[in-house]
Amino acid sequence: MQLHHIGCIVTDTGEAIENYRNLMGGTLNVSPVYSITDQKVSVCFLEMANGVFLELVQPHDPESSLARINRKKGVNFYHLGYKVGDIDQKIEALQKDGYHMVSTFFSEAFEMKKCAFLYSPEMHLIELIQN
Amino acid sequence: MSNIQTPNREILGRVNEIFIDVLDEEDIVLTTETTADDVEEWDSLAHVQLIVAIERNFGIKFSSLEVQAFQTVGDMVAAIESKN
Repeated sequence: MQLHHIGCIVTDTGEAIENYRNLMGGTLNVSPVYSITDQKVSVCFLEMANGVFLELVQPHDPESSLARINRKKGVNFYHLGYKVGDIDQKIEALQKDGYHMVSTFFSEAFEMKKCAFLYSPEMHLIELIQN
Repeated sequence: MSNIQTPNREILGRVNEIFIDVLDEEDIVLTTETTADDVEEWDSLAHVQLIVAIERNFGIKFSSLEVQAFQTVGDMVAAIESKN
């Protein structure tokens, strides 16, 4: 299990990319912008350290829970994403450890590999990504 | 007219408060027939938050089979009552 990204909500991906590019001194490794149909968001990865990314998540449905928590509570950093070897085995193991399953989906950002969102016992949101 | 019994009415009231708190929406008024389709904020992320908040509030634990079987708020109320 390897940390891959920290997911944060943005309202303007392009503006966020430029702000982070400036923050990093003008040089920043930026992925393409992927549209995630299931989630009604677009995502883009900025490499903040070797192999660890900031995932910019821009909701496209103003009534989605992501848009709402961003608007109402100002939450923008909201999940940690981990790459795992066997996602089904990891999901089962985490559920036995008290994690709560939210959803599974196949992500355009990861070559349509299986992903899952779970809440930890502390209600922190994590994402698993099949490696 | 709902024929809900008094203990269930008390549970429904507590569940209603939990929904208001978790979904941060003061105007929610639940009935036993309410489903996720009736509450705009009740999506998959919120559903898990609601289940966990209900478990903590009532000091109970739902099985994954029970959670999957919840179709209405009334199903939740009945499951809570069966554990109290």
